[in-house]
Amino acid sequence: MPARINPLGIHAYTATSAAGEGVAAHTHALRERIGGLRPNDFTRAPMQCWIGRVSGVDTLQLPESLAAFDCRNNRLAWLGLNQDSFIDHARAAIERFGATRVALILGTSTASIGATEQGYRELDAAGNFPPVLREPSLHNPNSLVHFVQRALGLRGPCVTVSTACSSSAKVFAQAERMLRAGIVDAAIVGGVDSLCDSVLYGFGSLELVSPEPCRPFDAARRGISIGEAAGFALLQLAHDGDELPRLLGYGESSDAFHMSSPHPEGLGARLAIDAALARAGLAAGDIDYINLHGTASQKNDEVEAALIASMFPAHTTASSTKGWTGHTLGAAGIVEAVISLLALEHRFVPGILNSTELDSLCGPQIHLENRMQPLRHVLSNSFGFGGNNCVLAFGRA
Amino acid sequence: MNTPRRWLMYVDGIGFWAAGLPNLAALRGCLRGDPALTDAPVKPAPSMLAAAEKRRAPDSVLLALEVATQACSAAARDPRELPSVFTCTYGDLAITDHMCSTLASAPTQLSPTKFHNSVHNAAAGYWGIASGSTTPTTALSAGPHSFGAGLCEAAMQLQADNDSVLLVAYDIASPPVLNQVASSTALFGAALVLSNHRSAQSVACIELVIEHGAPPSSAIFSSSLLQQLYTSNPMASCLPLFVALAGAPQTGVILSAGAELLLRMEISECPT
Repeated sequence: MPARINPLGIHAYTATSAAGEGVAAHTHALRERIGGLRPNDFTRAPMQCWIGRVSGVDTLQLPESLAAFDCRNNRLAWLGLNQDSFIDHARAAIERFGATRVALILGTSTASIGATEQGYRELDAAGNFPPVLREPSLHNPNSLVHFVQRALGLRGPCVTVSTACSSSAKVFAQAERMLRAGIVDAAIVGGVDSLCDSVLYGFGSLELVSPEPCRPFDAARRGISIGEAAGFALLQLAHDGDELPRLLGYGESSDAFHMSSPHPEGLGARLAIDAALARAGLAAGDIDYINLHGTASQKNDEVEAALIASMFPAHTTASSTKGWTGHTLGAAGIVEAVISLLALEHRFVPGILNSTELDSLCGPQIHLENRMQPLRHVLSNSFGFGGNNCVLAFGRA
Repeated sequence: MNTPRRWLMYVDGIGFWAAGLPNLAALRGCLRGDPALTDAPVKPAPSMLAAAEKRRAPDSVLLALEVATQACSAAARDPRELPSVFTCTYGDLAITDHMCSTLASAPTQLSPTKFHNSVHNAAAGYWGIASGSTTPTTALSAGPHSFGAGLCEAAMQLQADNDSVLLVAYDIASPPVLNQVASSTALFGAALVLSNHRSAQSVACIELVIEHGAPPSSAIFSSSLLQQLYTSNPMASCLPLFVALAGAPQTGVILSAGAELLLRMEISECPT
């Protein structure tokens, strides 16, 4: 098991999803149980499903200086950066430490593949993309990081983590290593994934998409609802006496089982939880709330429910918030990290939206209704294709 | 200004694959001036995959698994003991091309296998499945700086929790439509098993300093084959390092890990 780490202080955080733009909107939606899913109005060909679409993206215009990078994913990134004054916090850190001493580590699974899809739909007779889509940096996995790097003028480590649905959880781990090594003084982490044909038809082809709003851990769940989101956090080594929420630990692992199906006994997930607890110096009984991966796919929820029931005591509470946001894929890690931080801040535990009857595999931890309770330690689970797992542990100062 | 920190890493295993240079021995031969191999394979065929899996696997997966296997085998290390860092500039461009073409014409005909193979961590996932390794793995990209960003993360993992780590870097050739925005004309992959401690397997020591500055100027190789490879694939930006590790007299290498982030490395042999 890894050794305990010194915690990181979380100096700012924000999320933008179908549930709302910014943390106040998320808190309101969670408390009032107002979900953000709507019937699919994104795909050109009809596909019966519900999606977590961020309305503000469609009309947003990037500033002139960034217009060359216009695409849905970068618009969503810009919308997200401008919530909760996050961009001002980021710029203040860059001002304080210098542009070479602030890392940018973002997770994404889609990046701006939507722009590449559009290029293929609009090829000219010679087989070329339309001129507006010929910016090379739009057509590779690093497009989001390139965009945010340009927007903020960063000159230090700038890197994309793309491990499917664990991407923007693993950014916290990579940032912790850089901060511990002292190669940077602060790190901007987060992730952005946007709706595109690749993920809608792709998950559709795997028969993982629900025709109705997703119902995590419901006995009659029918699959996932795909959403889009952006989220960011600003991290530094924690100092005694600061009142900031903290990243206490993280755990990473692989299932070594299947590309698109979880290990049946949750082997990798268990290893990641154990490693996160070890780095945080905590035992399972210290965890007050777990924000579960809880995609509402048959297999994920079955494995995760059984695992939580076997690993945690009855007083630990657990829920999935994907009924509010949909499964935001590469952005799920950061969105649910932010929801975990909101739970800590407001002493509020979200339940599960849309579900009515819990699967019999669920232990006493998983609950449908919202609760008010004091919280000290929270876990956030993220599990991705390729059997790639990451679990984060957060706490109060 | 503080003295920059020097990171010491031992190279315990090296994997290398390019057309005509299917392993480290072939690279060494090329540096000695040996004639090019005439019967070299056009595609890697990693031994850890069964024949049927080899036929189905995307080129990016074949390439990554081949160099990863070579590096672990040279280091005499069980993959199940090693966390891994996979880095790739473009992902599997052939799958991107196939998916975007299908989505443009008949979106509901998208193949589920192509879709799950399209994730950037597909090679990392297949590596874990084929080797039975449950250790952490990550899949990175950083534009033209992808190799350096991967090496930087490997170095960070060595100082954090891991005594050794596997670094796997690869990119494949671009299909015609994507070549206008993603320039790559050849398959290339390379891998390293890196360790904090010198062992019987250690072949070289890297002393790394992380600096800031303008990107290094382009390298020049005496071999025309290497010169061509260097400009044909974005990940081949790491060639100066692998040429030095293959025993060329050159011992100082600078690679970019970001727009203004440099990895300055002094490489020394570990005499056997």
